[in-house]
Amino acid sequence: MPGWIGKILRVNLSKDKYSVEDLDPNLARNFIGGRGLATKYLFDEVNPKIDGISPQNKLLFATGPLTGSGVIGSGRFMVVTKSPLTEGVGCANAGGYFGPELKFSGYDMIILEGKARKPVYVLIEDDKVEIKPAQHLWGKTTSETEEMVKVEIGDAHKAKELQICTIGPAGENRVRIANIIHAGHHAAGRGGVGAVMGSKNLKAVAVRGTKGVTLANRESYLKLMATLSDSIRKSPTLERRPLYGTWTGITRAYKFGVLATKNFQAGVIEGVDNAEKVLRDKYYVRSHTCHSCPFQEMKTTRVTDPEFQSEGGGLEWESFGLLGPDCGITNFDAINKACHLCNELGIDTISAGGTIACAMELSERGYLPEKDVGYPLRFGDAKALVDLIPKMGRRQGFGDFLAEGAYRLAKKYGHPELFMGAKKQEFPGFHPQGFQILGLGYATSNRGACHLKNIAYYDDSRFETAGQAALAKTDQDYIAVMDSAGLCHAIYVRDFPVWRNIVAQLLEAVTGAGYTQETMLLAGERIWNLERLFNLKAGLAAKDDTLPQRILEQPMPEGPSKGHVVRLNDMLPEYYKVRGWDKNGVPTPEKLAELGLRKERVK
Amino acid sequence: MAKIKIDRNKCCECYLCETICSLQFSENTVNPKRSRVVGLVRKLDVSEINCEHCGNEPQCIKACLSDALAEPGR
Repeated sequence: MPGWIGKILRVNLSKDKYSVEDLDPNLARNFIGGRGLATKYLFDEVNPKIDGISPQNKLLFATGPLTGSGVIGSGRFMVVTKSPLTEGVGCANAGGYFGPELKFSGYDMIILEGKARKPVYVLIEDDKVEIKPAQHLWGKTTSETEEMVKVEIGDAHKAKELQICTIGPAGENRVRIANIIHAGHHAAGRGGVGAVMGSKNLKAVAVRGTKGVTLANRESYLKLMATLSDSIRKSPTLERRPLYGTWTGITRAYKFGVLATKNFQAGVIEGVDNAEKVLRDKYYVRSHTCHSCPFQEMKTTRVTDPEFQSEGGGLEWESFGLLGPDCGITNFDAINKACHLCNELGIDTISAGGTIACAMELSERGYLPEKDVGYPLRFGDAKALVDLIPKMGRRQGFGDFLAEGAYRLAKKYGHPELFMGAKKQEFPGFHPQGFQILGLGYATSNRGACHLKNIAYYDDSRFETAGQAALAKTDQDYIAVMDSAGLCHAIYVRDFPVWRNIVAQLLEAVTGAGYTQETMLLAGERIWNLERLFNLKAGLAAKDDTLPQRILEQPMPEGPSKGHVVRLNDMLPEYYKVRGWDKNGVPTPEKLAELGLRKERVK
Repeated sequence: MAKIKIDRNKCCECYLCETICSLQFSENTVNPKRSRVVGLVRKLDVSEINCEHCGNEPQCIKACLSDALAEPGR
């Protein structure tokens, strides 16, 4: 089975047992791998109505057929589960080296089920699978855990090869916005996947492998690799990404007046116009990359000033936006430290920032009593930001309420309208009022408000609603393919949009499974619809394809997007139509038949 | 004997060199751990290896987009 390994590792934590299963080639071809394949297993094996942190939930680590194949930008993997945050499908994507190493160890996917009686971690070395005690790791931060697991393997060379995914204290405490961290700064970030891992008493998964990935067509593979290499060498991206990574997003958001500010009350803030350069000159330490990718997007940063002294990775633009301007904070020292704290505790930086911003607004409006926090909480309070994150991760005091995420926090204090997100998940960094398609994308994303399911937004048509539905659909389907194949859409969509057209060729060269542009995009659409069906069965409905009233009715107060709201009603009916869904947002029997999802339909 | 040298300041650890190198030893399987160049890239105390497997055109050097690999003197 070229591309795929053809093996799935199933670990039952309740029974302390594992088994290896064959992967059905038809299933693999139809759902590609990664996000698609894992969602299919989740759909078939997990009742969508269960509580995300119950032992009946399953946690799937899934690679795609291109993961580990050496194709440029193929270092990605997915974590799929029922989300305890959105209560719908949860899927989080991460890079680094874990995905390829999982393939090299001989598995396409790991399915973790049940709940261990005591904390454990899973160690995979090719055919050897061990469920090992982890009581000594419980309570440790993500980097401490990685280090301790590496020491335990007892061989320096093996330790370097070992790739680890771990939760921090936040996942252990079932913080609804907890993530899974790999190598200290690659995050399977959103939807509370870390809380699911913690609820299973699973601290970490560590893999090391010595096997390979087979190619269907060597000649075609080498030719495509040469094409990719040539276009990279000619592109300024190869120079720019190692310098600034995703920090250019801050500049872009500022330029268009769509930088999440003060819980999305505005789109501009003073003091960030030169952020990418300041971060580079004052905070940058080094760059990191993922397997098979020369772009080195990830950065380690350092704060030297004693007040917020800190060093670590993971300060992406979205982390900056939510932990900074969205909390009214432009103190770069504090933003860096807050991000590093989140990564060590294993909390999603986007949701953490969005939740604290929500608390700040609740407090400023007098809805959140001072005694609950212990001090008057206001926008712009950098000290409060770094004070609240550890409390959130450990569920201490007021942190216990923050740990529930912004939706449940706002509801608890009687003002659900101050939650800024969609499907109970906090918005990412771009304010949707400046890009209509982003509003539609946030509202319709299967995993809740998301920065990764619609990223092809165009500067010149940003205030238009006509035609956005079709664009959003194509983008969502295409990204479902990326997430399932194991490719990085930051590169394939944002930096090299022309590469869209060779993804089918790459899939075909590696798998030989008969992919064309059409069958590939149909698979993407199939995956999107399957996620939708899971959500519908979980109890989500058309009423959840919406945005906060602030976004729909209160125009942007100032800046380059001044005066705009998201005109969702102008786009959503059209979106349902181009999706082949009825007016209630339910896929029609005809659409499901076309996608081969007849037996998955909602009854 | 040809030599391949690594500049660790330039190497970004993407391991594209290992991928391409491994295909010189196998018809159709990418296996970085079975590549010749793995000992150079992953062992931090090694800065140079002898290898003339690809003859005049070492594929690992060609594959590296960070220009971290070179043949000394060429």
